[in-house]
Amino acid sequence: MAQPQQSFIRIVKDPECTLVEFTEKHIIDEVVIRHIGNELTKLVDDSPRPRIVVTFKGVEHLSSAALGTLLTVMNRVKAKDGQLRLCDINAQILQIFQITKLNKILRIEKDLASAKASLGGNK
Amino acid sequence: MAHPAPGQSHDGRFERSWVLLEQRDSIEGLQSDVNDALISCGYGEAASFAIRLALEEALVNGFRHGNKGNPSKHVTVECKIDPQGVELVVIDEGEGFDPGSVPDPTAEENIDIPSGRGIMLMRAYMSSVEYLHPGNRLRIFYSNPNAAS
Repeated sequence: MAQPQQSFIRIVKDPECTLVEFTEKHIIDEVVIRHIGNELTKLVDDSPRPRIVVTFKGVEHLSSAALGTLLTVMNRVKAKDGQLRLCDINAQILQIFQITKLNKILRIEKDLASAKASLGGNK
Repeated sequence: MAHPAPGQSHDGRFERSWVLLEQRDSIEGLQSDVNDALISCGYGEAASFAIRLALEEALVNGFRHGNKGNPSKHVTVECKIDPQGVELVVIDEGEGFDPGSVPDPTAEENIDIPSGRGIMLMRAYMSSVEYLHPGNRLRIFYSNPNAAS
């Protein structure tokens, strides 16, 4: 049955990559995180070899459930031999990635320009 | 938003409890009340960030793991703020939880597993995190770094 879908991300496709922006500044509500996960999963599934940049501009809070969703997306992107970059992460949010050591397996770039520049290989 | 929150006294102290069902509006209301109280009691942005994060993780654990997602079960939150620090006690209606049963999410074999980081974040941002007997009562404490010793 069709149901109205609220979106919590904005997707911008350009020739180099697919850019994902969050529309929420607090990514902590489990329902919101589940929606975001579903949208990102669809984005990955719809691309033969995804090249995705997720910008955290404006994001002020993040929960462990959001980290889990990012990891799930990363695993799906890797399974398709794709690339995922995170960027524009403020100092407080970056600390969450560092505490959980996810900065070692998720590729984090300073800003959108460096995230795009870091994407190598085939488009 | 710096008006005194309910439960606020005039000497930088605050004490209040809430009984919640798993509804986003209630959780946001609680977070907002606690944040207002922190500001009124003189705590800064770092404390607000840490306590919001820890409280969110504690509530999710209480509702999801403690109450097993049962929408009729409650989580009780007790909050005490004074110049020395912030104490939060989060009580669910579950049978108890052994935090030792959660594997280290930073271990190489677990690093790409999506779950298991909530307790780690609470421990990182709070001065102490204790599960009190029988394990359905979580006490977290944030020590005020600016408190007079």
